[in-house]
Amino acid sequence: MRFPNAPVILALGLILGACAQHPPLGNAPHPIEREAVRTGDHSGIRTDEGEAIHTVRSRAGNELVVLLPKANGSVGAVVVRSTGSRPLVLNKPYAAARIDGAGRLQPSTYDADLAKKEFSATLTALPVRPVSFLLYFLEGSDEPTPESERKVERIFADIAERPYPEILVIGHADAVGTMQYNDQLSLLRAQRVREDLTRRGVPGKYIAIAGRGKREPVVRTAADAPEPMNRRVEIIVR
Amino acid sequence: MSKSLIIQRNVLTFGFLLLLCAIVAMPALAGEAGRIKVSKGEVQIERDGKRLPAPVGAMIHARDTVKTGPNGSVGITFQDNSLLSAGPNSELVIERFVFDSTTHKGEFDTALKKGTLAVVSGKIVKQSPEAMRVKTPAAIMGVRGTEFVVKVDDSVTK
Repeated sequence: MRFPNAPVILALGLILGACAQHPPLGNAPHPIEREAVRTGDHSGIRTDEGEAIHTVRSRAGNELVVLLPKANGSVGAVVVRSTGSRPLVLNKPYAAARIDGAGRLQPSTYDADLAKKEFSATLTALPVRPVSFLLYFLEGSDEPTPESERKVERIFADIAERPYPEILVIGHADAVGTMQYNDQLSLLRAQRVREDLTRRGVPGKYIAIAGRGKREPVVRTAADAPEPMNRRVEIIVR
Repeated sequence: MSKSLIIQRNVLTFGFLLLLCAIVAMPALAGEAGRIKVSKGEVQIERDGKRLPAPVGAMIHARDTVKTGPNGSVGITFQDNSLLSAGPNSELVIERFVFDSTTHKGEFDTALKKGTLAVVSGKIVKQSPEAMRVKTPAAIMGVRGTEFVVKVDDSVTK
């Protein structure tokens, strides 16, 4: 008896093929196409509501979108799409759109103070923005430079203020030495930073560490060249 | 061995492999999308038909619904550094969150059923503009790297 036989092997191939589809990034249809379909669905639901749609239509502007300037002062953009109008691009501070139940878009400019007031409970609940820090190290050592050592207090203070901080510590090394040596050294540097943070009271369960060796230099150098900028640890706090 | 027995074994093997596939694919489907960082007043997570408390530190998965009460508000940080917050009387569905931390490619779909929402986009949008979308009952917002607020007044439709 032969086992497993051809059908089983075929099935295995099919299943593994299906598994390889996760996550479905590569073959995702273009966002705009998908949106168009979904907008269609929305309108379908609305027309089924019969009387409700009449009420919704009679009171315009029960949805509102307002673009805000970013913390650094720059402004991005939001494209608003609905069934009742052509797409509207909001790309200026406090550019706004009202959308009624029939999906009609009404562009406007919102008052900055009114937006802050109307959305104050929501904006207050925005989490603290993720941040990253860099510490530098002495050559061939897990000892931070004196200048970096002085920064640790400030980094700790920032982390301590965050609710449930998720911390990623990534060690790096310069090009002096073998791949294996630098993998080890970069991991030692990351471990050292984790110890510094836990000693100051950050629970260890919040901290993940990794060593990237000499793979990701910020300054390109010749092989085996020392470079202070590459002997570093990144601390990413979310 | 009879032919039917072989087929039976094949079916069993097939079933086992299917199960294995499901287990392997699970993290991608139901993994952690974000964490609650701010939770004030009444906040609930609905997951697979169950209602769960939503304290600071609670995990948010794709397909979760987050609801706030009259005095509630909630802030969530996602794995791509996107931030979302919802004000009182809000209902927010995390429809889809897929993020590759190496390439920063991903897809992020949320739906605001009612209430208010603030959005700060993250790495997914930086890598692929409009890969983050916010739906309301009447519209879809494609995010091109920005901060904005949305309000859905459901007092008329209810």
